[in-house]
Amino acid sequence: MKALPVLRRPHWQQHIRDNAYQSDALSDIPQKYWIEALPQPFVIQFDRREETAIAQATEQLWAMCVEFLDWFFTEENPNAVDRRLALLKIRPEYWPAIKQSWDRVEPEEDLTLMTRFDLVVNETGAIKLIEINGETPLLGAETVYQWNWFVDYYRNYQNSPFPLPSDTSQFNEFWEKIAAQWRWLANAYRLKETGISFLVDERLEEDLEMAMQLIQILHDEVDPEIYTQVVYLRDLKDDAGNLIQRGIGLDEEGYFVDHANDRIPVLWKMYDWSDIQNDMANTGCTKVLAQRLEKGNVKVLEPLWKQVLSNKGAMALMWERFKNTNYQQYLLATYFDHDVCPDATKLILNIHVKKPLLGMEGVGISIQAGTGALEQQASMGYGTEGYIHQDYIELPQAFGYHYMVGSWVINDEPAGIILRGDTSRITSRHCLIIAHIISDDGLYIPAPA
Amino acid sequence: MTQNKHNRKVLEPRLIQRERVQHSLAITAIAALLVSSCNKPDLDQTQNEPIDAVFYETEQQCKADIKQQNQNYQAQLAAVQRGELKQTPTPPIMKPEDCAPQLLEARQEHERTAPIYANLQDCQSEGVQCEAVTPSASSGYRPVYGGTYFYPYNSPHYSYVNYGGYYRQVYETRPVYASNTPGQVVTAFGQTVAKTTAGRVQVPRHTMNSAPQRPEGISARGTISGRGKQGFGSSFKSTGRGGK
Repeated sequence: MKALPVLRRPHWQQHIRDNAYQSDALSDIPQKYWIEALPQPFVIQFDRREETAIAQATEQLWAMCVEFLDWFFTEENPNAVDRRLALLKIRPEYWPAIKQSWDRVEPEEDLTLMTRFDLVVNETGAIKLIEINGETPLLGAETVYQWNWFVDYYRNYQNSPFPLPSDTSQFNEFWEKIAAQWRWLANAYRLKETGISFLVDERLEEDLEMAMQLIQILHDEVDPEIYTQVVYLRDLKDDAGNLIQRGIGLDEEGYFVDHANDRIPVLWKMYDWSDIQNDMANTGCTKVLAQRLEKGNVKVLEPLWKQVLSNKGAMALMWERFKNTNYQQYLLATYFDHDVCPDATKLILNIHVKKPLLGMEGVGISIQAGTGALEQQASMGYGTEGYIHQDYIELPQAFGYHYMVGSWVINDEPAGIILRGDTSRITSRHCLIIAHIISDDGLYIPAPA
Repeated sequence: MTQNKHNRKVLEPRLIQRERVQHSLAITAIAALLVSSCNKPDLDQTQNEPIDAVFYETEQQCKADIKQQNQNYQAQLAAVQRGELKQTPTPPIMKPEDCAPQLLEARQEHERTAPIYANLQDCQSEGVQCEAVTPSASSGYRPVYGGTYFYPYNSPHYSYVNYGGYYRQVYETRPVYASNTPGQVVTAFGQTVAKTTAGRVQVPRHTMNSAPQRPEGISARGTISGRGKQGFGSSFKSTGRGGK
């Protein structure tokens, strides 16, 4: 793996506007969200052996997740499952529904659309899982756009001072794998009859952009007649404060309802289950929602059992469970902050990473060395639910950016990667999207003029 | 292991159809985009330009208008024959007997696409007149039918309607809702348009956008919770902007 400088294409911003969702962020120079906004754009090149290793790790890690969930939801002695759910600080009212959710996965219920693993992949060949984006994995639009960048670059800029190697490809099957999964879901959930609602936070443009990317794949590849609508988390108002569209609601029988007060039979959401559960506790609706979810006739992507995977406490439980297995090669030692075993203590005294059980985008994460934080991100209110301590591994660097690999898993298979970089060691929302290429450094032979 | 499949993948871009996707979503979502997005989508620019259309509320209006058009046509034809008029007139686009199936299609389209609200207040808050929905399966309120546009000029689109046991070809219709404000109608996407006279009219292009057909919905039961400061979105802790 290595960094490879590339050309900033003359009309790159227009190309993004014409060929990407998330185009506002990607084409915005001050945000430095896309490589061509940098003084020297670059991509990361992996060779085919590394690509295969990442794909294998992703497949193995997903197999591990399934094995983990099977164990997690098995009562090897009374209340074993409840004790684990309590460790993850999940509200007890939802325990029956979460257990049901995992039991229902076979044959065709409580299905998942996608998951993204965040991996450290470094020059020594190590591949380590640092986080599972089990519930609300963004970056779909960015993953599709890096492909469109690659096609444009390979077709039009090979005679520039920065050609790509002639054997270049990209590890990117996001579109076709999502299409296949949509096809399956459309059939299993009868989307033609029910339609599907996409719940997004009206304050976060990237939520809607991700939703639109997925809607286009659904309409292009499955059926353009499937009814789709966007539902907002809160009432949507214009600048003058006039209501444009009411937010999502919950009726007396625990069904999610849309702005027209129709029940939502199938919901895709970009909002964590733990937040939904806290919201409903605030408004006194925990019981009706928990009971409705237990019945299972409301289909939600991602399903409730994903709440276990996206909780960072799962990383500590996985370490405990798999540290002596073959999966160990992909895991970092991880402990709950209440863990007092010698290994946990040793880890906490050395350089390590402290992460809240909940929270995404690097919030509340700090790199600790013995007594104090070396580097940290603001907690934004996360962390009261508890922390884990994870062994520290240095991210590789290129052009001043520490970068990590987001690796998609769709229908139990690896589906491509998307890289993010950050000038801090902790990747946050203010990150850089880095395109990648796969090449064994084939000779560059310019095409005949 | 599938990781090498893509090596054989054709080097083709994935075409992004942002505008089409926005159209496929209910217009309320597009309105939201207009509010939230820094770059206003292009779709607005041609949406307000006037195009030729026909507007009727009832079969009677339609018949009367066609009858009038026929009289004008006959008169012009006679004038041409007398040599008083050079240009050959175009015959009316419909016959009086086309009116019933055409307006039936509009009513059926309204049935298919008008949203159903749980209560009268919610329905009226959209700025439209409302009526109770009769079949109890989907009890609630929906906007009152306020007439229909259709577009017989410049490569029209057709639809078929079962009329008296036979399928009849008719023009695709775009029904509108009766507004709370006199002199206006409201489109399926919530846009208000000045109410026109019956017959051939010029209206904004956006009236042509077809309403997304809602699957048969089941209305909410009882009080709806979760909207407001304590509800959905209240636990979310903002982390700035960027990517999850």
